[in-house]
Amino acid sequence: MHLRALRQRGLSRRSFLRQSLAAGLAPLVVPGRVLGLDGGVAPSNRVVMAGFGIGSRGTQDLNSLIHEPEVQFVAIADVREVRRQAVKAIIDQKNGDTGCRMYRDFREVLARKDIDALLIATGDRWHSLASILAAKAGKDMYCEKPCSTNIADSVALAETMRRYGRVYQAGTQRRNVSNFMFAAELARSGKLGRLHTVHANTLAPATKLEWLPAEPEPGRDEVDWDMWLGPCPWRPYNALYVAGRWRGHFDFHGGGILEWGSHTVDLCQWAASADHTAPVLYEPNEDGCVATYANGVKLVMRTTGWLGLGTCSVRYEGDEGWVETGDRGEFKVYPESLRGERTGRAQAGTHPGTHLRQFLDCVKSRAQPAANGDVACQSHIACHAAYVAWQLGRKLRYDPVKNEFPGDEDANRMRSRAKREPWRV
Amino acid sequence: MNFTGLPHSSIRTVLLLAAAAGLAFGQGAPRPGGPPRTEEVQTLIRTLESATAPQHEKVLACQRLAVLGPREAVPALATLLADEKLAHMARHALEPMEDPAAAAALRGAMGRLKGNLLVGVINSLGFRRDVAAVPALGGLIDHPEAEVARAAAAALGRIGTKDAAARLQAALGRATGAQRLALADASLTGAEGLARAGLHAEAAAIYDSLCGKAFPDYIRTAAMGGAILSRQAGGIPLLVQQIQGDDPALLSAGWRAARELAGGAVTRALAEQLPKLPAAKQVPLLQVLGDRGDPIALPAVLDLAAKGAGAVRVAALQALPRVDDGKAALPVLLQAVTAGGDAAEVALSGLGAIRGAEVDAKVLAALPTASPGLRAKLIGVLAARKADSARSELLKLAAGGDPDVAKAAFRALAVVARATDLPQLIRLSLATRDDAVKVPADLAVYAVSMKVFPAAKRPEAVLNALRESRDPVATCALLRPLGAILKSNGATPEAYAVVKTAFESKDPQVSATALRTLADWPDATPAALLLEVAKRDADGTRREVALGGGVRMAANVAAGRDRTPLDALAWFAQANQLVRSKEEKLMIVSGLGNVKRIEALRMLKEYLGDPAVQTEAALALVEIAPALATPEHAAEAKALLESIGKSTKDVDVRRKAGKASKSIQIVPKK
Repeated sequence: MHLRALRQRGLSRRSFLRQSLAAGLAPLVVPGRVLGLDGGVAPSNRVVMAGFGIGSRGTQDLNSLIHEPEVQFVAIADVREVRRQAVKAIIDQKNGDTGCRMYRDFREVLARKDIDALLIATGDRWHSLASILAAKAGKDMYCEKPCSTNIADSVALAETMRRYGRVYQAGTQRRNVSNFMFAAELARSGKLGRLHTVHANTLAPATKLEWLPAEPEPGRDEVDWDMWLGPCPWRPYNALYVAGRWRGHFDFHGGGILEWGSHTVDLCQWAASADHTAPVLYEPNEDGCVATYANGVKLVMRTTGWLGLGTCSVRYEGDEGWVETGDRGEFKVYPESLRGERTGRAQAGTHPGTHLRQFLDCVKSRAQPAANGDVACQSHIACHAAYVAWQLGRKLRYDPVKNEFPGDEDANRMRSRAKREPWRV
Repeated sequence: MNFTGLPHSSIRTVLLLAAAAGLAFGQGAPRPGGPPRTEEVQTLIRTLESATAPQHEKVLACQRLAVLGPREAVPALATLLADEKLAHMARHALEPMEDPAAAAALRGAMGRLKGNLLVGVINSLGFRRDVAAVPALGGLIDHPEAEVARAAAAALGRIGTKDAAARLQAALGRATGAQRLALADASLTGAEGLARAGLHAEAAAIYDSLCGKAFPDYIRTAAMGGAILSRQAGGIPLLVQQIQGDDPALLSAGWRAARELAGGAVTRALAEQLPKLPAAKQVPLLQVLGDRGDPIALPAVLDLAAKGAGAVRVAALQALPRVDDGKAALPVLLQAVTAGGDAAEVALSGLGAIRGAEVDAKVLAALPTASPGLRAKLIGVLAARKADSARSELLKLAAGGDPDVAKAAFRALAVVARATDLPQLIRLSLATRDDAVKVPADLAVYAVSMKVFPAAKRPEAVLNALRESRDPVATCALLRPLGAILKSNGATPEAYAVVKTAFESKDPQVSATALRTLADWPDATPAALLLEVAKRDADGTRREVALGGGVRMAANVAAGRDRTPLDALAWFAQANQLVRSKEEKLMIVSGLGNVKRIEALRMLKEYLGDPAVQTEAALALVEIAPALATPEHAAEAKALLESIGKSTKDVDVRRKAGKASKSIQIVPKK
């Protein structure tokens, strides 16, 4: 049987980790400043970094990272000349020199032995492959979400991070934003009673297969179109793709469930204490999908019916209470008495600072951060499986141990996408 | 007519319709029923075989075949494996296809392809873990095209059989440069496959072969991690050896394996190392032991938490609550807190997180003898622990004379106090004379009021206190949290009556505070009263407060954000007569910007001649004029916008006026 990589994993360390997390023993990260590493950073404690594909979201990440005392950003790789120059300008201004090196091909950065870690903020099509190649070159990485565009790549991503012992943090920063942490804690601690439903705010699932009209391809130094496409099917150049209009095109995108679900389904997995598994049943509808975990907890992926607390909302319901929160930092909770349990300052859900800080602490301690490869793998699998069910328009069962849709070969074929030569994971 | 027998336009129609529709709900499903699916497959095959079908149609056909997975499409797809433009899409359909014919087609293509196309086929065979391809792939490991050789190595690694692993190991001995690294990477993957199949000794042998300094550090780190973990409990000596050693690559693997290798024996071995290691290694090992959360490590961690120095002690105090149920850790943490210094903050955090019911009582017991500074911090611990049993003591401490302790107590009460504590909490809050303490006191009253259920009763305790209050200072103090409660919870007629009574008080301070509460009211109930104040009050500050609050309310009503019955236009018309200062004019102008009525437009027009506010008036007009483009008022609105476009000096307003003016169409009267 092919696709055995997606089948059972019997290594005891995974079950050990799962048990530890189930017991509430989240990895301990001791910030460097607590250990007296504040102020001047010794060269041995510096984290030398480079960026891949830094656009608008990546610039937000970059602006947080370069102000961390131990980070020394030294290079940018991008297929677009205009972005290489823009990012170099930011870095050079921060460093007070002109030393930031620019690369069209990120593999040249991977070959540099002086670089410890990467910020990967390319389009979605590159996330898993670039992360895997980076791990195989011995780099740690913070990678923007979504982390993969299909189930097979999600599994490969987690396996590679484990194999190489790398520190990987998915850009699902809400795991380190106080209102989302508080809501998850209410659900995980039983304060809502027995949890029965978790709701994830997702977007309209549909993608399209059409091509935009062909336009003359720019020179490779201006835009390296072949490298931009990377592992995706070839299609003719159109400037709109490069400007960000790749979203919604199936070849480059995993659909609207994944677009926000990589955040919100991930949060629901956390709240449901399901970080190391995925739902076993997927029932699609026009709007999204209702999934069910093996213990009966429902995961509702939907676009509408939210209380207006901001984008990327989540809602957790138990038999004694519920909580809903979103990117505005506010939350609604029942019973109201639970409101007083909140600690921590309100933050915007899009703020990556604390999440990035945790990544840097883990690079030094070698502990696993909150959104590590295993965690990201499972939450992405939940999104991908929901999208497969939605595309097929029928109920699907899923085996999260064997990573297959039992007895459904149509669905199983949709777990992966062949990569354009020469790319592979 | 093309050779497929179907008009080409028909095929195109089918495929382009699918593309245009995109992947809509259920669109990826095989068509219901047998014959339609067969027909669809035949149509798709004919598209692939067509000499005239455009590339996009063939791509779409491959994408559809990837979902349907029909054996009968294999020959057509196999032909495309040699097509530079479509080979990838042919593999897209063949790679996930269950039927062995797909693998056979890919294997068959290896002999006739080269370059990137050969690499693609090898990658697909590797993805499929095609055991039958191992001999052929083994023959490609030394291929002169480097990318082909690397792809073959990677594929063998993914296939992960003993035979595949042996071929990789043999090649590793003779390879150099990038190919050597590719073989090492593939061997790591292959070893993982062997371990998964239960062949731990074979896997360990491969890992061992990759740990030497002939390989880059990142390969050695991965290999040593695998070498330890694949040996399971037998890997403990190797793990300890790495932690004792000084090779950074292998030490990194040691820290990773120390977290992942399960079992009490592992924890015991690690804990035994703790006192023997230098401080630089004790810190990361303590972090590891904290992550493992195994009580077996408690004595070793406890020892360093009590006797360690500097960063070691800090790390031990961090790890302590994670390996203990509270009994042993508590005195050490309390001692560290009492002693102060760098470790105190970490110990405080540990006290907040430590398990065990007796912890709250012990922290409470430590309060009387603690200095005021330490007492405030320990109160913070009780808040972090949400210590319900501390409520009565916290109420006493809130009444105490030390402001730092009182502030901490009020902050803690905000978390732990119950709704039944509100009357006492309010009394304490009113008794507070220190301004710095009043803020947390108000917040505590607000936070605890918000715990009342049902929600309509949340203002009740404060309102009762207000009704009974005869002390002007206390009345003012109660109005502050009341305003916050009403803002969060919504207003009630009872609350309005109480605050209005306070506003009518003869005490000027009480009246002024109540006026501010009314000006900040969550709906427009007080708007008429505020207008009256603005009309008759001689005090400039009171006028400004009243006018500001009223403008906000009328604007909210005009914009539809508040449904309180209020004639917003009439309100503005009267308020417009009262304005004196530039600030008051700006308030009115900004409020009128929400009133999409011709009368508002005319009022704003008057301000265009006032240099102090003409730009703001122009901006407000630009906002509302497009909404007034009815047949009756369109000409007036357009003329005004054109006039603004010509006269205003502000470039942005001029641009907006021009754009708004163009949007208004004048329909000639018939």
